[in-house]
Amino acid sequence: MADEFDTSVDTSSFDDTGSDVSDTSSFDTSTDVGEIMSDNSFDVADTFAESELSDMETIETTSDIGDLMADTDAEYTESLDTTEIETDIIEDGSDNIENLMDDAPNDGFSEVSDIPSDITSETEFAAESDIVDLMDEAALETAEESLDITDGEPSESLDISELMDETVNDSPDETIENLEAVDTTENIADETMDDIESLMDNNNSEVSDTPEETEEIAAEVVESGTDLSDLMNETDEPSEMPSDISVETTEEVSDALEGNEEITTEVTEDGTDLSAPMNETVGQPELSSDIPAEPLEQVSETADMSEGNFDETVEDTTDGTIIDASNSETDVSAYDNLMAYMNSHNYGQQDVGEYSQDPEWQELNNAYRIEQGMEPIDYGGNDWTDTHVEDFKDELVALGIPEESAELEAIIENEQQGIDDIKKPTPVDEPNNEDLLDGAEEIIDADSADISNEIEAIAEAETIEPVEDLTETPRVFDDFENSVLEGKPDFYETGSFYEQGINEYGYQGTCGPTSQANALNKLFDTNEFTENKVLNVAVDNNLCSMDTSPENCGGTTTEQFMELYDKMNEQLDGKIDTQLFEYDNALDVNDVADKLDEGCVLNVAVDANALWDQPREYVNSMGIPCDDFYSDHWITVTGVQRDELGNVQGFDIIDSGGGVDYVSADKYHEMCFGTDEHRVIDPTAIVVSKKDVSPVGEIPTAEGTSSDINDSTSNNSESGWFQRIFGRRNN
Amino acid sequence: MLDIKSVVSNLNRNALGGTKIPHAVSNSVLRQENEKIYIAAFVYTYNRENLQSNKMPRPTQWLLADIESGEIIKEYDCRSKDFSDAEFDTLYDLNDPNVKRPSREDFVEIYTLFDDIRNEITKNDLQMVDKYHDYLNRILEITPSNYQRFYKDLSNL
Repeated sequence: MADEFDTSVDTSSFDDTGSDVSDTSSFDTSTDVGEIMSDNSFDVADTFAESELSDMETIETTSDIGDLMADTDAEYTESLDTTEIETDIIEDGSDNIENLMDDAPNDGFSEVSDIPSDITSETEFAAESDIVDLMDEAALETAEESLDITDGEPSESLDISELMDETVNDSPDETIENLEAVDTTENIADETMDDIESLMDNNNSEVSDTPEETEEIAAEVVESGTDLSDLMNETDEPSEMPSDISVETTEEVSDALEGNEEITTEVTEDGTDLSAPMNETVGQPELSSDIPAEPLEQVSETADMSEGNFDETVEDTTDGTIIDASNSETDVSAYDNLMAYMNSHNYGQQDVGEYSQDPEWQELNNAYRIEQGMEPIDYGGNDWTDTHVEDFKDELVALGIPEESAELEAIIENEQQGIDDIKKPTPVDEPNNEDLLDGAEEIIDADSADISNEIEAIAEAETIEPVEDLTETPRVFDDFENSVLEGKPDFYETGSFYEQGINEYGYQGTCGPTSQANALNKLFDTNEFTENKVLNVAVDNNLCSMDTSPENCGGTTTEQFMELYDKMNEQLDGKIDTQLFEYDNALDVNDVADKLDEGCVLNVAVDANALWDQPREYVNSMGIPCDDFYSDHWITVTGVQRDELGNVQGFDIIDSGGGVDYVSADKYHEMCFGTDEHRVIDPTAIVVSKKDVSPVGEIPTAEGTSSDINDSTSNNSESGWFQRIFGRRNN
Repeated sequence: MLDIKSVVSNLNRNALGGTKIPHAVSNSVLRQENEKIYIAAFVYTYNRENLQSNKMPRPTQWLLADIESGEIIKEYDCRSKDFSDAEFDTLYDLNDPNVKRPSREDFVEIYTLFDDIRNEITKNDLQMVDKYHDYLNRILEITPSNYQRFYKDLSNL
């Protein structure tokens, strides 16, 4: 049997079904925007790692630090006219800039996270907005990590020189012998110089903001014995790929690195630390609508890098006292408290309207904001959203954006949209990211194709029915399922769980319970309904054959099958409807197709021989006549395939016994009704559909009924799977 | 007396308790239990792989029906009460070049013969045993050789 599935089951189709869930999920179709955003950010990180870090593994420490500072710096130094920003303005707005930038990695800032609300809401809006809610835990951790770097450096006197020393020291220790990876060294050079350059840009006491002055200072640095000019020229060419780098360049870089200690010492005499350049360089692009999408992607990548490599940086600097872990612990506490609150209340992103009104959350959120260097929000008085837009506009103007400029208007307009979204009651079942995405389209004026693709993907995710959000809950496996996973780690992810015969009783004739589980899984887009769980209900209620050979155990008659559905429905608080059509009333091909079009799922009784391509002849291979016969196998029908004219071509099925996943319309008719010479005596179809889901709060409590099924699953009481996936909304 | 074709239909409907498990009910034979003669048949289940490989497991159930009415008297699970000593983990290859493929007409004859035998037995005509052996041979000649043993084991007259 297993071989049959291994070879014949189209697990892609099974995965299809599962992905509508998670999925797993299953689960994919129920992926919310936050997940998509996270995924996208990971995608970006991956791309970045592949394209730019593939050769950098041996010097991760140095490159990581460099990436944190240099990549964004290099990109935006080119795209922004920083000379327009007055030094004193920057000083005045530095907190805001820092806030903005602190939140940049926080959001993961993939292409999708370029949503304007992110951009505009950072100073006050971040923790309140939907976008913050869209942030997943990983993204928050990223923010923390980034902040750890910036916050920790001053307290530990982590100045650029130390980092540069680290750069120099780590490279020989770890990678000099591997420095044939020339591009790696190039990256070091780029990043190192970017670091210096950005420090120069931001050191307002000694370093001018103008590029010319920066170059002058760079020239001074060169006088210290380092061939920096070439390096600086190179950093002005961020598009230059590693493959273009020559060995000669490497040597220059090496020379430069040797001189870094002097350089950085000089630069950091004023106490400039890494946080300033990082914050500013990341923050600047957010204030300009002229910034093309690519630099934003770079921001994202940089943020992702900070997330992915910070730990390594810490490890690599353990020889010194560069980064203080205790500072990180302080940061984590407020975050942990906030996350603990969210987890303890089982809040998700969509619950912002609810938890943001909770004083406990407000207090925790403010603690977190303070920890992040942001102003706490006054929840007690006037609605902060009332004045937020004006305040934010003032801040932007103070930061140098012309007051009457189109870009300012666009940002403010988008911010207002975000505020409106927050103020607007947000039903759980109506994701409100569409407006945010529309805003993103307005602000981001480049690479619209890529962005629109992602927007479409997210919009597509919005169409998921509410009940499918249930699959956001991580799949919890009971004891039996865990035992299955020991032998088949991907059993519940690949669609293998559609196969019958995987149950704690050793029953093999379980096409009935398994097909029922498969139908429910399809209906609710989950993989929680396993053969074993449904079989437990059948056994407990004497609704399948037992006490015979394992081959025959677990089988169900039509009557038992319907009663079993009734028992399952009791556990489901009546969330399904079942209709039996049999004999003369049995549904033919077009009837079945119509039901499927309505969103129903069917269980049908079939002739296994016909299903498994063994057409009935007068006698079978054993010489036994096969005039008319009874159906002898349950399957699940999950979809209809039509041609361009709407004619039914075939059906998607789940065959727990043989792994068949599709039958033509003709074959469907034959296996359900037989042929003129060999009739199926008892054609049977059961239509399973979801009842209209009551609004949240109106669904009757699952207590008392769900416990039965949890109990019936004997060893999995801790999972409370029915309660978890169907009772959660009843709380 | 219910004709054998109807008896067979009844057996098919009730085999495995009517549960929907891929299976087949054998041709009918006669079996003596507790000095009484019954109509008997065995049931074997299969899966897709069995069909494709044409290798079948041994029977897992057997039935006794009243010789006259065809009413099912008893269903036995082979693991509880077996009619054969065949192993359960063996598959029997059904490929047999010598097996006869019966026609509909053949089965008209076979069924007629079996009904005659049943009729005579109900009249306590034990001379019909020879005639029954003819019937059994007709069944065996359409049965793959590796599976014939189960008819022989079940039919103990």
